[in-house]
Amino acid sequence: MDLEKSMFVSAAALRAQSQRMRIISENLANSNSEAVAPGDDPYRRKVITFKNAMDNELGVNTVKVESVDLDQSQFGRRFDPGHPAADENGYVQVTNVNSLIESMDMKQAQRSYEANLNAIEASRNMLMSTIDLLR
Amino acid sequence: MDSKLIQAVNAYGKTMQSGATAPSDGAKNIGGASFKDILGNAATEGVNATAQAERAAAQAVAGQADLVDVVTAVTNAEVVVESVVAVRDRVISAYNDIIKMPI
Repeated sequence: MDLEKSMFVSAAALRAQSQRMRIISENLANSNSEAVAPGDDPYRRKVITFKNAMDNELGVNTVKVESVDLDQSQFGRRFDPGHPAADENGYVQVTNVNSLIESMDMKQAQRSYEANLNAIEASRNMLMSTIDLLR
Repeated sequence: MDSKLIQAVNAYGKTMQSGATAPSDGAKNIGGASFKDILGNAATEGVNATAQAERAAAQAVAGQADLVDVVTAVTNAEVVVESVVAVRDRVISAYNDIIKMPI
């Protein structure tokens, strides 16, 4: 039944968004993770990509997580000569996580999750009111 | 006057014929599946969906399943059971109507 399929699709989106939320939490939690020795890299931000996936069993287009990659942008630099990972000029590499970007991503994940929850609820209500016609 | 009477008789005969053939056509369309079979299949489906929901819930408690899987399985079971119950109630009320019918 189409309404059950739509619930399945929305559930796949919920799963994808919760994985995205996990990646955002990892980034935020590690926004202060720095290198421990000179030459070491600090925490590198992770980015998640989604992909449209065909479910052949049900014949519907769902969404799935394509991959979790590392953000290739440059690390920041901070002058901190006392830091154990400081180079000869006294600079420490800091992570490329930007907490403003992460919080915007988090808002988007929240809203998307909410939208899909509403879609599940709407499908369920439609099914239930159709069944109620029999009573 | 006579022609009208003949027309009326013909119409009555046609109605009788269609009335006689309609139920057998209806029975053919069902394809031999009796009410008992339909109800049995529906009940089996409902039991299967409920069992699936229970399995998902048990796995989630053990930390092996996603909460989303549990929600979809339970919603699916709910829909199936509700529809089976609604059809059963409806058919039983139809049976009761037939039983109460004055002969």
